[in-house]
Amino acid sequence: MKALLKATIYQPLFNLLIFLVWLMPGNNLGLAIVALTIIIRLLFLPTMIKQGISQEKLKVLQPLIKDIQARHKEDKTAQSKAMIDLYKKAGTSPWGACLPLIVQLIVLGLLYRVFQIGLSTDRFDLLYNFVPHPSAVNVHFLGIDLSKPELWILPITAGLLQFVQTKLSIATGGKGKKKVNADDPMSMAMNQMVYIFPVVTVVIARGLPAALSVYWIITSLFMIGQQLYINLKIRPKIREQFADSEIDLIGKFDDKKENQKKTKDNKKNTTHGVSVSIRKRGEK
Amino acid sequence: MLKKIIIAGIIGYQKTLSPDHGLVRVLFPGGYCRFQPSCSDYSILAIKKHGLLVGSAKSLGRIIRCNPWNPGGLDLP
Repeated sequence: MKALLKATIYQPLFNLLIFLVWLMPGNNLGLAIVALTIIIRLLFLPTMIKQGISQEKLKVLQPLIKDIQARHKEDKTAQSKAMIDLYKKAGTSPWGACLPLIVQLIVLGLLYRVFQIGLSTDRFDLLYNFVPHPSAVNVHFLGIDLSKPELWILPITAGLLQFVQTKLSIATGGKGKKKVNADDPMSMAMNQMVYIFPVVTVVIARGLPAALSVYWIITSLFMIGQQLYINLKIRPKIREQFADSEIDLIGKFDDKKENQKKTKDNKKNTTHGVSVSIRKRGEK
Repeated sequence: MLKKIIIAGIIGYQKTLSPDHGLVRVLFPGGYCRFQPSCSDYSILAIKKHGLLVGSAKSLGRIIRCNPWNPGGLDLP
């Protein structure tokens, strides 16, 4: 199993990284990591944007989802069916997937491993024949040795950027702003996560080779750009179409839940306004 | 016994790291998963239904299916 993972995941990524090192001026590892991060993010870009757009739409459904989860707490099968039903009626569904998460974890693991085995040329036996062998790897980037933990600049930058990114992605902005409900300990706890995660990031990043912080920083920067695009370009359109109908929408869905066993035509009528407005957006 | 430990582990994951059930679900108010049930719920159901060996294999298959190129939807073990 270990050998299989090494041959299928670790080795290709290692080869890609070394190839990028070879490509970069002065065989600079820092630049290679930046390039590797950007390549990975670009691969996920279409799915991330899709996911961001559907998230925007789905925010409106949150009360209904909570309701479904509460009602079918014991029966996951019924819960799943009710959720699918809801997504169908809303005309959109989440686009999150496990595999990209796992790939990202593996990349982190890889970068860590690369420094464990060292970047000395004696591990180049792992390289494929067609990959050019750089004569040496320059691990210094902006005056920082990437192979060793760096305690201040990079980890704190990574934490700050992560904070900005999280803030941006939960900020509802404008009209539909929802205040944190102080009576709801769950939503309070979650709101604190916005502050806790960046701190955790800083603490972890301080203990790992600085290369990982670079990876983290570039990832956050990329995600911030992505989120800004969604917040500034996509969100207004969605808000526009939900502005008048938000409360109605929830009312309509509730109606539907109660009348679930009625005819399909009936259902269509009750969601008419909603599904139309969502489709309009989809066309753009 | 081992089955219980594995399921407890999955629930532990759900309470912490899981984007759909865990601490970061504040970021995904509309839900995260393209599949229903989520991969972790699926795994628990599969292990309970088919036993540890077959259930785990089915769970692994689900995680691989849960990629950006799969439209998702209802998928029970």
